[in-house]
Amino acid sequence: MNKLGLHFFSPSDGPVYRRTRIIFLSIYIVAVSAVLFPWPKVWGIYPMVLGLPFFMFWMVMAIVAIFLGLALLYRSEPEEE
Amino acid sequence: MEGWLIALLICLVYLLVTLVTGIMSGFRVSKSVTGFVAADRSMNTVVLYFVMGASIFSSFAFLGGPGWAYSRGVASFYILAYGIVGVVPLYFFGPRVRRLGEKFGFVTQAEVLAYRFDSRALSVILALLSAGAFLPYIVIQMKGAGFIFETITDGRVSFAVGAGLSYLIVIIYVVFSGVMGVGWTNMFQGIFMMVIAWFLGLYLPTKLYGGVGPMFEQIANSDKAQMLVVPGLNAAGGPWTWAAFSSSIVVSGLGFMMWPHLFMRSFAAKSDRSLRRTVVMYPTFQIFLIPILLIGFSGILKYPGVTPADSIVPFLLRELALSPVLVGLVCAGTLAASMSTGDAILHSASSIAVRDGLVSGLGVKIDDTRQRFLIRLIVVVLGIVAYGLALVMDQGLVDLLLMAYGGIVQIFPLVFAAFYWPRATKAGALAGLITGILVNTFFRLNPEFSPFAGMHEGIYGLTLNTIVLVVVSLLTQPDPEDRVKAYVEA
Repeated sequence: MNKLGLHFFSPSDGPVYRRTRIIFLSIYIVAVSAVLFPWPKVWGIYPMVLGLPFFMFWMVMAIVAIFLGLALLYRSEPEEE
Repeated sequence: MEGWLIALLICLVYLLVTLVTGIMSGFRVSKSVTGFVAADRSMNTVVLYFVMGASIFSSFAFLGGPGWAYSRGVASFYILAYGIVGVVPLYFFGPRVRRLGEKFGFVTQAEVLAYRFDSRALSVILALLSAGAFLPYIVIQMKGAGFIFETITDGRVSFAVGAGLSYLIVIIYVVFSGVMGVGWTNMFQGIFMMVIAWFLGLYLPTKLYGGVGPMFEQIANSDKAQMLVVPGLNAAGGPWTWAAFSSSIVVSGLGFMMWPHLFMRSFAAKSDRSLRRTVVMYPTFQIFLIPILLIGFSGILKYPGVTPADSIVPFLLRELALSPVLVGLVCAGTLAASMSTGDAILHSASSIAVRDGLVSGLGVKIDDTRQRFLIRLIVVVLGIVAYGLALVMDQGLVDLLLMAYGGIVQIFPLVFAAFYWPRATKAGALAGLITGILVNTFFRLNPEFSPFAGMHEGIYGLTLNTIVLVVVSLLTQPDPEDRVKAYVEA
């Protein structure tokens, strides 16, 4: 339990498990921020990538980042069910 | 044979396949409430993936989504963003919900929260909130189905007959097979709508503009260039604000997995792994919004002024004089999108009415067999009521749905607190939820009081909800340790 009284991990969670979750959360926050705010340059049409306007490509990249992050997280889950 | 008849036949074949799939799947589960509502907790990743995906993409996918892109340009991208942002929380709380369901026999969302906070009132509030959100939702799905039939046959098959026929089939397979019927039909419907969307989304820009890139370039160089200036246009055609764009993503994203019919799928999962795998794979489904939006963009320059904007897909189909086979397939795809959402909602609403309304809320004691019978009965009754509303109601439905959407997201702080904040109490949870719903409704009805113009009202509800939840919890005695522990260590 941390200072705010939030209970994110149980004592049995190993260091790899904790680290992967924190890495995922960082990726997630970056990807969400990428689509949430009026960053300069990224919301224009040019340069076009794969025939898509840049803002569309930007959004697809955020989706891909979350997808890869989730895949990483999934691999770190303990085997037992 | 005449074109409309070919298209109609394709739709009828689609309906027949759906009906057969739906009924066959019912033989796979036990005749119990758990079998009917949670598929005996046996769904694997493949079925879950399509249930989630196809339930999420409603008739909005082929009507509203392209309509947004057509009339509001890049504003429609908020839909693309929130789905992906919103599915992630399920990765973390879904498996906990599943394990609790297995341990305590829960099959609805309200059961999970009502047990943690030991509150019947919570069951009732959540059941009412679901009802407020579900009824307009299902009515809109029925209207979408009726609309498609009426359009492709030029009115030869009326709205009433089209909507009635599609939803008669939905009612039959939901009553017969419960969530398994929803699952297997959604798998078929999901694949079908994905193929149609990708084909149409790439075909139309190529045919009309010579490609996706050239299409955007031409729009950018026209007097409609404003459509491509992020965050796009508002409903009135003026520029949308970043406050509105970002807050819509946040509210819709946090609310996404709080929708009871999606939340409840955690109980149907066979294992933690199958549920997690479904979340990991979900972005591959979500990405199909891109062709969906491209369909709408393709109408902007070539066919300006189509109203309502939601009719852009049927309009394009007619205007381009495409092969009737293709028209039929697209219409069947739209029906699939409508029905695969309608079935999930009808099923969840009835389960909630019986489990949370009657059994938990009013304390009516009925055995498993009769519960299952009642749920089926309510599927039929609710289907008929919604059909009646679809025939008579016009305006106000979308408003009701949007209001409910801001209400659904208010469940998020409670779910978060149940799993991660042991100090949350019954009083705090109730006070927070009620505050959230009231504040949200107030700002929805009186947008002129909004402190930040254009901000989604759900944000205000969510903020005050969280503050009240924390403050009231800290002022009241902690909840019994055994209940709290069962959740934070689930």
